Amino acid sequence: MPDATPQHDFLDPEILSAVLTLPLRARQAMMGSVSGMHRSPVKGSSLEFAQYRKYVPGDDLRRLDWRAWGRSDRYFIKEFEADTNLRLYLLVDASGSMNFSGAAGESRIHYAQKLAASLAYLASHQGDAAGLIAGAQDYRKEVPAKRGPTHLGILMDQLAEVRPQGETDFISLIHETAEKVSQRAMVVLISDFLFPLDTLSEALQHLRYRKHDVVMFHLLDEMETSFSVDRPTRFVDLENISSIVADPAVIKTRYLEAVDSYLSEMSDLIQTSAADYHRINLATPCQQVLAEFLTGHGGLA
Amino acid sequence: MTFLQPALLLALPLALAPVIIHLIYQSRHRSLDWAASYFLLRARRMVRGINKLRQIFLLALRVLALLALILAATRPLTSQWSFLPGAGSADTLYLILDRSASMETRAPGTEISRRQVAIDQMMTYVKQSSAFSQLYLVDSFTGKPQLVPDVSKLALLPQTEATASSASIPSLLEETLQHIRQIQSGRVDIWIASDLQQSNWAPESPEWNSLRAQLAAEETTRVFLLGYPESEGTNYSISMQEAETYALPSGKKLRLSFQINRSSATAEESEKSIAVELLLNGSTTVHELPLTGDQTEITDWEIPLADELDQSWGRLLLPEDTNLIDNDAFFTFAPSPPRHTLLVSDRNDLIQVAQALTTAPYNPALEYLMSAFSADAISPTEGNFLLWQSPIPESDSLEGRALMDWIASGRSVLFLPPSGNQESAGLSFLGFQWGVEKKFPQTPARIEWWQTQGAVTANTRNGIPLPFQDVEIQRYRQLTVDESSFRTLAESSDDHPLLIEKTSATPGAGRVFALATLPLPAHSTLAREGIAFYALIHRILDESADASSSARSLRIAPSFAEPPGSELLVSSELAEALPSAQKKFYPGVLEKQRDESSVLYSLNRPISEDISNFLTLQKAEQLFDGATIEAISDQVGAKRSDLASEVWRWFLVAMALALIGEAALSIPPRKRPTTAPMSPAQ
Repeated sequence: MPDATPQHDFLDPEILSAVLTLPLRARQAMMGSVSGMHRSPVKGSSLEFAQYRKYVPGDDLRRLDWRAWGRSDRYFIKEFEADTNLRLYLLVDASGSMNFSGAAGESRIHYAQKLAASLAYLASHQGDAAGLIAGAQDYRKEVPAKRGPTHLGILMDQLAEVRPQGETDFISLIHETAEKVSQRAMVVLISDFLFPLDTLSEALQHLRYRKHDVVMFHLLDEMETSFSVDRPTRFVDLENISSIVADPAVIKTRYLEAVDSYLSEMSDLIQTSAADYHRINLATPCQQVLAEFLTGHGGLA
Repeated sequence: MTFLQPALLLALPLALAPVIIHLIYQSRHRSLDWAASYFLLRARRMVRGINKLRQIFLLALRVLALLALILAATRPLTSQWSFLPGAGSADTLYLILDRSASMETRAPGTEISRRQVAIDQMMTYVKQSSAFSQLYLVDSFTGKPQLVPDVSKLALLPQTEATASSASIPSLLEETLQHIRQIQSGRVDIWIASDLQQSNWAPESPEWNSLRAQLAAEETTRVFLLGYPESEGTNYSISMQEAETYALPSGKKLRLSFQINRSSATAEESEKSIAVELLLNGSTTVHELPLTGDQTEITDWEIPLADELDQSWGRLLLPEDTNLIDNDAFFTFAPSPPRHTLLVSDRNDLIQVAQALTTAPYNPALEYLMSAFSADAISPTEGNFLLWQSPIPESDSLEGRALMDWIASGRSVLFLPPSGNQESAGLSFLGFQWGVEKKFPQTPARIEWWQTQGAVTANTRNGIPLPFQDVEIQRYRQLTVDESSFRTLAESSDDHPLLIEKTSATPGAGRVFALATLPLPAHSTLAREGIAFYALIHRILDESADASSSARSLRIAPSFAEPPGSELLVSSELAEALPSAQKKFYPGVLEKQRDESSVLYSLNRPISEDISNFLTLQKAEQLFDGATIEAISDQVGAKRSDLASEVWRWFLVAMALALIGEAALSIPPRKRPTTAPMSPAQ
């Protein structure tokens, strides 16, 4: 049982109790360093039979199936599925736009922290390794994926210290992660993805090439998607502090068209990238989002 | 472009108010931290061009609307916009309509009068060419500009009806120019419809100098002279001069003095006599009277009267001709009261001169008396005429009140310079005061100019001027006059008024004169060259005595008001169809009850109306020398000119268009009911 005390406000016991019974499973085989509950592409010594193969010199004689030799007078090596642990990498966008507080009143970063913390806790709870990479332009915070309650505590502390600032650099962050994490892992992207999607496509391809299981949590607020602003307003950009004066009466139609176009582009992108994509309204309870994710991702055990 | 209210141009910067408000509003927008600038920028990119243009258009239209409003308020004038509808026509039209009796002469080739022709032509002109113009009627009887709301009903207005009065074109022009300055109109056309009768135009009047200067200063005003000097056929007019009764050994007689004037357009030989119908005491008789030319003076035409007939009225009527309104003359008669002059003076020499002047029988059939009094002993009932050679009293003094009562009773007063050389008070009381004495020891001053028509200094019935030019003046007291209530009847060679008359008298009040010198050898030769002064004194005396007579005569002058309490006894047949209020503008007889007796007033045209003396169009034009004038003999066309006219209406149109455009641009685009989906597309 992890020893991470829920001293951080984003680590909500209510959420944890709701999702703790659900396992976090990867959709594909993982390459863990220790035995775990996840499939591994490497054949190991678990109880689940995998296949026979002919003996080749150099094979461990201990894995020779003597009974098969007795029956067929040939040497066969008996292979079993190797169960391994999961490496969970939580990539949190820490650009200024994550500070946005919309109609729900909760900031996007706080929601992201809740998601990330819950997933890390869940992973740690089932003996998987969890790591954190948060960043924006000129800002990085990184916790390598490790197991154990002590590490979880460190991760939580680091997560709590994430302060969104500056312009987004999430694409670079994904590429860096893809390069850095050589073994298969579950990479969870938590962001508002408010940047040109053509660059995202390349980044997802990069992760897929590295055989990572990619999960995307796309955090948007109702206010952003419906542009429910009623009078001319000075919109101050949270990333670069520049401002735009706009009259919703004039540009609302075009704005909604832009939103439609973006979301449609995102849908196309997901279909080609095979990522597990979740568009989340910040008003939706976090436990509901996690439950849907856990039950839908990799299937129930 | 010029402006009638140039001060309002200072408000022009206000037109920038929308831009300033826009900038302020922009700087005071609510700020909102926004993450989805990505969408915002994309949306802005899509609408930037159109929105920017729309914003600029909106601001421009708002600025334009304000600019147009301010410019409209400044009332701009220009001659450059002649392509616009209504441009070229005046903003305000004034029709100075001569309603004098002579305007009732039939217009050549028509069956209607010149007045009616003028009205018809003006109505046509306004309808065709000046539909946007405001029309003010300045008729010669009321003399006040009145707005005509519906030009098509001009002919039906009581202010355009005929009258048997005279007209004073200079006074009407003066009123019109005052009104123009008062309403501050843009381009103004003044139309003068008149038959150019000399007595109405008074071309020798000094008023014309002032009018010319005023018209020359009014750059946007032009004058159209709608003159009708030509006439056809022969017209006769009759004007009553005197009707008196005498008890002669042969019986009681009525003596009538009147004048028959003839105006003929052709040189053909005219009639030698004319049939005059006399209506007297209910019976009508026709008399064939000989004519002695264009002006026939009938003096002391004796009609036998019944002994018991003391007070009555009568009428002389000429046959119908081209002007019906000047064919009759009414008269009233009653026993004449004695001519009693009162002199307030302590100078014996003046008493002697006054005695000689006022008691010499001007009319042998009448009794003449003179009494000298001190200022505080004026009798309220005795006397017809007062000669006041004493300081002007204070208005609230006993003498002042007695003097006012005297004037109010209809009797006249002639003020003579008091002894001494002190400036006197009294300006607020009577409207004039005595100034210091001016002496001419070497070369005596002379009377340079005097009124020859319509005044006590007028020419004689035969048109001969009174010999005032022979009078020498050694000394006179300067007169300080309130010009609005006095008129000058005679002026000295050094341009000082010598004889003045109060003009703002209340109806029925006596006349007030002031003479600046005394009829004494040390002062003037008025007594020595006695004819002019004698005639002057007796004219005032006769008129003043008439005020106490039971038979009086009235002339229908402009703004005529009947004596209070009088009622119309009889009037001309021409007035039969008219309302009773207008009947009094035609010849007739008024009766006023006084105690147990009554006073009869004969109502007649001013004598000047019967004098067929007309200006030519060229002569009339010369009176406006320096002003923009166009003389039109009998046609009114659509006259346009390059004079600047007001264009404020077009600025209001521009403002309205700008506001409509602004409203159209301000309508928000139709709302899109859809919102972006929050679930991922599958």
